[in-house]
Amino acid sequence: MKGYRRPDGRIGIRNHVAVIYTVECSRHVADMIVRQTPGSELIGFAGCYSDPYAFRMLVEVGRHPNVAAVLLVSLGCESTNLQQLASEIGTAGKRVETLVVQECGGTIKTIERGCVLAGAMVEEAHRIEPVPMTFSDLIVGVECGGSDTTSGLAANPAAGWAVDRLIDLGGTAIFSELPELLGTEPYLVKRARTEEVAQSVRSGLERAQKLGQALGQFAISVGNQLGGLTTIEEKSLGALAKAGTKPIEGVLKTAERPSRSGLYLLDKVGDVEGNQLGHYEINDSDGLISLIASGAQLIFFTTGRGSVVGSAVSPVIKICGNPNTCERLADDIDIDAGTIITGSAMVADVGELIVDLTQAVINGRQTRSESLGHKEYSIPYKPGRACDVG
Amino acid sequence: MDHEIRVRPEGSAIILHPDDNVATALRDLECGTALTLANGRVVDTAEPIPFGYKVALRAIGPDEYVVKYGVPIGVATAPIAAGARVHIHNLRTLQGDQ
Repeated sequence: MKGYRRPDGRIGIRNHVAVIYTVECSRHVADMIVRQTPGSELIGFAGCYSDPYAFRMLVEVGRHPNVAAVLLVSLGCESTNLQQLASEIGTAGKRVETLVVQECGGTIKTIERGCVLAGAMVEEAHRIEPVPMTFSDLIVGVECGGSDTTSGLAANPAAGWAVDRLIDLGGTAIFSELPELLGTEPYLVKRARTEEVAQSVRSGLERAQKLGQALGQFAISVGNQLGGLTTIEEKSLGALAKAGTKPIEGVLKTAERPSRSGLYLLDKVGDVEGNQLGHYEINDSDGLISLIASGAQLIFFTTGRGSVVGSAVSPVIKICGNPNTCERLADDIDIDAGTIITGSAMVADVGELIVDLTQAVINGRQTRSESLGHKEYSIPYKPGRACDVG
Repeated sequence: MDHEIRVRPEGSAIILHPDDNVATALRDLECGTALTLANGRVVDTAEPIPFGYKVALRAIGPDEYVVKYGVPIGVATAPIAAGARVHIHNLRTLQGDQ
């Protein structure tokens, strides 16, 4: 396997130039630059008033190993501190350029200058020679969305099998979504590597419980029960299955990266009392960007009802356990885990397929969402989450 | 998650861990469907088991744990016969009120 070594030592499996707008007002200009510069990707934050969470997401996306260089496009009067953003991304040692629409002289002039800069960055990125890499250079983020009855039987156990295998091979995986792990405390805590990690797991679950109570979004729905799930622990164990069976080496705060290899739990619940917005994740892309901010170069995304999203930064491998969905959304699904339901494959068989595909995707094979042009990102305001930024 | 055990006929039900006392239906199972476990033991479904629902692999007494994924997912609230459906009418969470 080969990847792109960055100045900070991390290895990327993609070689994007990120064009990042720092407020909605400069989005169109940034978007036009990206449209005219193949090899560049659009990412950004819409808000004018700076938000520590969003700022940190932009920093970590800019520093990300799948990103070769960064062009920041600012309007000029937004609160987000452009120079601070540029200098924090710059600590990763890569090229960072800034353009300010108000200083460049408006839309056309900024697009022109942006295309020259982004084009040169793409050219430089193409000259980076890929170097050999192993699974020990890889961080996989594991996420589920559009879950159904099959998720806990097929897609999640298969993803979990692949996570276990990658960790055996020296790799690292991050799972998250603490609110969907309520009820698993006895088993989750048992898997903590140290007592300190166990305390962090307990604390995360307690805050997730409080958040659920505060939001009234909690526990197990009538729909879940119509699908055959009876208890919250049963539902949560199905979600937990995607994290495999390895010990939890550490609990990460938002934007914090794993310090060693192995399995990590990302706790982005925050301090519930200080949480003004409430929602834990506003959508699946919000979930993905936080896994990416913690360093994930690749995502395993499990689904039952079907999801189509990808990512502007890290390739997304879509694993679906519902045979009907696999047929209906065939173009969007990378791994058909519905074979576990129909009886033609075991969990381990599908797990092997995921590991094989992981290797191919590292080596450049496009995932379905990549070849279909999905480049989602979602960086919302999260006031109150500032306190848990790692 | 290397543990799952196939129930015959193929595609009828899955047992996710050797310690489990329930299997999960992979399709709608009629009453009287003979499920053959790995050790050759046969469990006849005592009632229809819809897709995604759980069926008891042996008799489970009241207050006994119902085990799936190798761990308790709750406690039986009534005697459950082998082959019976296991759901909200005879299983409750260990997590207090849901």
